[in-house]
Amino acid sequence: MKILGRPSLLIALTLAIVWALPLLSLLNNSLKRDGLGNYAAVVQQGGVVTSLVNSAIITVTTVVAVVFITSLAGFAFSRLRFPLRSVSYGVLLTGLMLPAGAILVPFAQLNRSFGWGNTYLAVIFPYIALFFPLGLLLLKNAFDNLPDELFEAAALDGAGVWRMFRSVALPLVVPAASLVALWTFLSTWNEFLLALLFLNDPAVQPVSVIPLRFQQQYFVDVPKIFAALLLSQLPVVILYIVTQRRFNLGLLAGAGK
Amino acid sequence: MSIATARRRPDWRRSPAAILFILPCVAVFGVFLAYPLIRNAYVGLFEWNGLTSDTVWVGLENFIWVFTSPAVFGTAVNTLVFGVITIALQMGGGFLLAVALSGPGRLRQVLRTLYFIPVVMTPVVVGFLFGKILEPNDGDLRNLLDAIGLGALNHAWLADPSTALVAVALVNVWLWVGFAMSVYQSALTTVPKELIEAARIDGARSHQLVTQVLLPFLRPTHWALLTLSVIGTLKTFDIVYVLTRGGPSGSTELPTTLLFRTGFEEYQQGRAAALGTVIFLVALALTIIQLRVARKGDER
Amino acid sequence: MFNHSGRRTALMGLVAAGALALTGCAAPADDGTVTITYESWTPSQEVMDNIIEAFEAANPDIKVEAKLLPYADYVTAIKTELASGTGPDVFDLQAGGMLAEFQSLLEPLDELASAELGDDWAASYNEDALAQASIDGTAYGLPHGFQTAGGLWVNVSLLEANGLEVPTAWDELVAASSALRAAGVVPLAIGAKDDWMLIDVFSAMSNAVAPGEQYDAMEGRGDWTSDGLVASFEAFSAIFSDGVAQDGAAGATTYTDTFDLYADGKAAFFANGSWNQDMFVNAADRIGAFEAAVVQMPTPAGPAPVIGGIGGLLAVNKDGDQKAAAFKLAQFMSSGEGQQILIDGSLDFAVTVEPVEPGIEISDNAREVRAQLTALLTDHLAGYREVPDAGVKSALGQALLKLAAGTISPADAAAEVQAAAAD
Repeated sequence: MKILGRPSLLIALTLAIVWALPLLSLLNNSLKRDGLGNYAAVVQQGGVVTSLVNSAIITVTTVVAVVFITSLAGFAFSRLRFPLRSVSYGVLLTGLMLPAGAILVPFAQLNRSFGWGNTYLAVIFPYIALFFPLGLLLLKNAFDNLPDELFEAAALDGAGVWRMFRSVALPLVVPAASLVALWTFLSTWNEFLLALLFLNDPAVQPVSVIPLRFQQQYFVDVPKIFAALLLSQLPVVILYIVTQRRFNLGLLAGAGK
Repeated sequence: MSIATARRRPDWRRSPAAILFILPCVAVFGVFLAYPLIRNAYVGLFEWNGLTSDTVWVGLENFIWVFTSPAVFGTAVNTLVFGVITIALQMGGGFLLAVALSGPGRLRQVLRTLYFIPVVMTPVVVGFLFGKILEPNDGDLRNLLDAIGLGALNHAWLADPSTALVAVALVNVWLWVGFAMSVYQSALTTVPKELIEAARIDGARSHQLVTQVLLPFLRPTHWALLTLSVIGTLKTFDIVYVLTRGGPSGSTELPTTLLFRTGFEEYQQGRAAALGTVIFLVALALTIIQLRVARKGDER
Repeated sequence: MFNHSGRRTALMGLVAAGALALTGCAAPADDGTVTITYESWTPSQEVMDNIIEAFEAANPDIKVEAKLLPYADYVTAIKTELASGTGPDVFDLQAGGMLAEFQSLLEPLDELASAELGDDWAASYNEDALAQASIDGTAYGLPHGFQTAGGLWVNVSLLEANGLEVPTAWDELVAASSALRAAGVVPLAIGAKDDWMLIDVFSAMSNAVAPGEQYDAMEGRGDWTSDGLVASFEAFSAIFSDGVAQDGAAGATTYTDTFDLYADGKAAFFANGSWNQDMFVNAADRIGAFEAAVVQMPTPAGPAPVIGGIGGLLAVNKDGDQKAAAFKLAQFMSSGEGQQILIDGSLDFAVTVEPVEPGIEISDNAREVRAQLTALLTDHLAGYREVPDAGVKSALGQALLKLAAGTISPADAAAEVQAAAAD
């Protein structure tokens, strides 16, 4: 609902003009020298649509997997009791800040052992591993914040653990789960280093590596890099616009908190 | 007679199914994270160029370097400055924008989308973009300033050690404000209308509504965003590397850029691994502190 | 795809896939063809495609898969792959420190070369070029593309338009820079964010101010804090303090900030090496608007010589499975038909004793510049380009970056590098 009135809207509008300037610069730079030819070159390079599809597959799979495993585990660490609960939670959290350089060689070795080279799995599993600790942290916290009475009431009703999770707790952490989904989506969509290293076949490459194709040693064609970026980000922006309406339709409205 | 002793109902909280709930996470961790983490700490104990089997045991020497090196200390200071600017502006700005743009209407929707667009852009390319914009001889910013008669303000933002860090932080804010805004925006949809109406009826002015009603209400959101932002800040690499490579003169050197150079240009993989391990421990400590503080806040 | 049974199947596919991965994807197919993998930061995809086409035509039983990445990403990738046993068959390295670090992973080439080319194969190579691809006399890679660095590119038309002549002495350069600034023209466009660029410029200058001392220091016979080298650091920093370099140089990259300034006719001078000739191929229309030239960099001690280096060396993976085929590709690109294709695209100089000229049409100006560079190479070559030790190279780069930003003194810069050298 609307909270503040005209004056603050005007301020936001003025600031938005400043915010938009770099985007205009991006557009302007993407048209330099070759004009629309830059876009043609990107499309001609081939594989823009393919890479968008690849990005979508990789990202959606990762997001779904991360939300799935972290809501399960978050619930358990928050609401269930079992031996070594705190210790194992702490251990899982150590994955939060895994140093970037530390993972490359081990992941390469793992991919080689599992034979996943050049398939989606070569990056999906590493992404899940990299991004789930944060999801776990956020979701466990969300479950912690739920009022105990809810569970006590359901227990009196004879609810078992799965019902507690599925019907009592889960619906109430949708905002947190959406945050985890959004963060994981963004992290995965833009990730290019692992994709560059592990996905050599253009048929499976995601869209994040496309700008790099225009970056060779002596010949950095910046306008084309910008054109590639614009083209590759367009679908996500459109997605955002579309989902915004659903956001506003109360998809994320909590249970009258 | 209390309910607990009246019937021996199986405690759902001690359900043996718990292990199934945590199994996927544990499995992923065990296979993909445990080995890299341990290996990284282990590599930190050697002098190694990252390639050959020529390794020299140096014990804690690399770790001592991490704690005594002025270069590393510099990155800690930079992280603090960079982090404070980024997090404060991003969260504060995100919150205010979410509030200002809350509500229906085309204009609000367009503006929200506009602020969100940078969030989905690849940091590497944003780095290229701002590198071009901030170029003092022929960049867009300079041309704009000249056009509106403020040419005197032109400065070599990224080349001057005293302005580079702030410049990079501001670019980072441009990149991320939309994310905080989006998060606050959806959190705001959970605010009950009655709460706002009641406050207005009580005579609350707008700024009081914002600071005394909305701000406290969204505490869980603040916490979640703060956690994400701290971790995000510690992991920042691409945007800084492309904009400044950690220069000039280390004024924008973050632990991640130093780590990159130590490992890949100096071929000192052992030192890099030690640095990485320390960064990771610091991040872990920060997160745990945040958890404790949040819990205390809840118990008040 | 992402379900339990799928995972089991993938694991069961381990044997075949794993074996394939272990051999670096070089398993012979049923019809006897062999596939080898090539990885590098250069050349461009287009040029590489031409090379592969020609190579496969000449070698019908060998297929090539090429992976080309931007330089920083390439180094990350190749190190990761070699460390995890998934490295390519043929890959590119820079001479100097990089070669030294990778040495134990490379196949010494004498045997393969003799088998393929005969016992006196080394004689067909330019001595300097082959030396840079070797350690202690053993070749670990085949060089490709000989280049010079440390020269000064000039926009002669722009100078003339401002009533200036090409400077040959230091004070002339300073005076010209000041006049150009007053006219709103960028004097020297130098990418002072690139440590390699600064090392090139410094190395050329130091061989004018203190001839040979840098090589002494780099090879362990001398000290970086000698009077001569400190004076060299001073001369280098004068580029920035005397107003020769453009504003904000410390924030500019060669590719493409300063390259664009020069190519768009906005800068009178440009610091870059002979590989910049590729602009006559890749940015011909922009360059065509003015007359370019390459001269020696003026220094307070007279014009600086240039330093010469190979564009890279093609190495064969020691753990590879198809070394003979890999060597064939390396040789093809280094001294065979591939060299011609590479030179057509980059306008580099040949690494072979027999000179190779670009086979494509180039402008008269391009021909003039090439002649100027050839003269520099023949008459004013100080020595090799790449610093032999990776740690020293990194320290030198960092010290020069700080000098360019004006945050340390020349004496301190020398001390920093010396500290790294002593390590």
